[in-house]
Amino acid sequence: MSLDANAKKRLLLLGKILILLFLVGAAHLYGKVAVVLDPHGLFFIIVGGAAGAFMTFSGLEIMAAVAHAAGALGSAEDLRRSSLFWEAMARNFWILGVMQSILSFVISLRNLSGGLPGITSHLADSLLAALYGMVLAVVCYVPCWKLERRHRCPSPPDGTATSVLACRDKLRATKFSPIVAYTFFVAILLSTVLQSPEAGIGAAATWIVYWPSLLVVFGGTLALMLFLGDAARSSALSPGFAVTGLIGSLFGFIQVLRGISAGSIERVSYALIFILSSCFAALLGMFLLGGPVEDRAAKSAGTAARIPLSRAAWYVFPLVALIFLVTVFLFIITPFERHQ
Amino acid sequence: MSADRRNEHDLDRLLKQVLKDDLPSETEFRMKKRLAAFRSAPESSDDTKAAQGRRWRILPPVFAQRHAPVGVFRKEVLACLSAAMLVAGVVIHLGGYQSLLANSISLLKMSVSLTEQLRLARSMDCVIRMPALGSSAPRYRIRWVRDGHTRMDVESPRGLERTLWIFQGNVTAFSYESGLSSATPPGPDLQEPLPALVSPNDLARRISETWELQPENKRHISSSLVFIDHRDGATIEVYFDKSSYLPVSLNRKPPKADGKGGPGGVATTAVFIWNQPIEPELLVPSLKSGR
Repeated sequence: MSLDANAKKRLLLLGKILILLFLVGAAHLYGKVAVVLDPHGLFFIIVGGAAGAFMTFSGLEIMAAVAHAAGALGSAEDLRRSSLFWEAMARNFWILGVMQSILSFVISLRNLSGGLPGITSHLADSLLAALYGMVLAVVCYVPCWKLERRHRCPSPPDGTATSVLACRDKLRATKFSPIVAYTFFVAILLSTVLQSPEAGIGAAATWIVYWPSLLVVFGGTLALMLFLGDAARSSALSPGFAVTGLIGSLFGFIQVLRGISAGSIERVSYALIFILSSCFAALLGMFLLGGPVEDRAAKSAGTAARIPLSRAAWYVFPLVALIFLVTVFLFIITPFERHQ
Repeated sequence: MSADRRNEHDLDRLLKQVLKDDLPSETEFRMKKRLAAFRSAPESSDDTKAAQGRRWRILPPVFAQRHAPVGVFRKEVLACLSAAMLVAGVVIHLGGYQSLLANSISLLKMSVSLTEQLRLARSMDCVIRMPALGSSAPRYRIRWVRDGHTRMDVESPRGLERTLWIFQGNVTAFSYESGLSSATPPGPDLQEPLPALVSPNDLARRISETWELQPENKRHISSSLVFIDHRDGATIEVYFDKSSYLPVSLNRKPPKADGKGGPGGVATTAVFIWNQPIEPELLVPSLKSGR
């Protein structure tokens, strides 16, 4: 029976490899690989996602999660933690993909060459990052779903489990891991910001960062947490960022409409960057604070501590931000007519 | 009645004697000692974390437990901080915070609006001068109506030299010196920047496809757009009317002859009048005189 099972596994693996080769070959033959290639965006998402994982999980936990995804057995607690890891990775990739799309589009606005066709091309290039993020999120969700199912029906204790619990004391000793991860992510973010034609970090930051929306989103989230008071739990941080991001965007849209009615291109432009910056700030907050805080809470809790509101914030808000990005693009390319 | 009162007093006295709230001195001393020992006993690590968490209530428990030892920020400080951040964000935004990114978006929108208004124009009357060539340089006057007819008069200091009628790519020229008319392909009379100014559609096509919009590093947006023509490196400044988004004037500056970059002096200048009625007979080449 075990021989049959092994043969089936091998055949399944072979089939998967063949499908992948077929897809790669088809894309290569089609000759349009370059159209869907954005190396810097892919680098930002993968490396940023890895940094995001290290903000919560240690190297040994990550290795165990990979082993569990590859079929290694484990206790219910280990499988639960591995499932949490894969969900965190899926969330990170998705959020980073949309963040990179917004960032890339904003940077491309500095280079005005090519007119309308040029800016349309820039938007298409920017959206590639969101595409990568979505694909990687789905890829990471596969082991998450599998491990969740296995976690509900754990394997017998005499299996070839990779125990994470045994290493917990050692893991606790490595306190520097999240700090290194945060520093690493900031470095990656700065390297992306420096793609801007502006010379120096200060000039690039002045170009990209719009302080008013950052203040509104982070101040609003802080106020929301204060209002929640004792009821504030780790799971309220991500929805808090999503809500304030939405409020900031709505404020921006109201201003856009007011700017159009007043016939002021400047007011419309400022409102548009307020929308983009609010979305970006909320995504950044969710990635740096909301996600890791909830992951830590879920890790320490004995049960799955995810709540639907957090999941909605992680998966729906980036999608909304992506729609806002396209809407902003439409506002930019829509000709302005003054009342004559 | 008085007997009842006496009994109550006796009962009170008895209760006060039995239920005295002061304990025997030895018992009281032992009790106080136990209480002091309990108060001074070190709390367990979990209790400590919980207590710290209570002081740091606004943050999620995990975060609170990790960062509670900081303890300097209290709830009131954070409330003030959040309110200040919110107010500052809204006030700075509404108060006209200057952003180069917003200016860039404004330039793009202006360029798009300019192009669109050019495509919607009904008529154009444009006078082109070339000051760089001196007083002997010809002066061009281009008149265009929406049905596609264009008339171009070439004037020298001596007077009107030629008239060209352009319709659907066909050029009919009339020379006032020789009195002859001929159908000619677009030739020497249509050197740059004239082809861009033959019709608003040509100008719009140049703006959206050929010329490259230049970002401005100025904090305030003016009513002009700067383009670079990459074919010859010339700089084109388009001044437009902010109420109609139609160009008022256009300056074309060739690159400096020393090759160090940057625009030289104004080589060509064009002044526009839009949507004014133009006599239809001026645009028909069959009237040979063209006058």
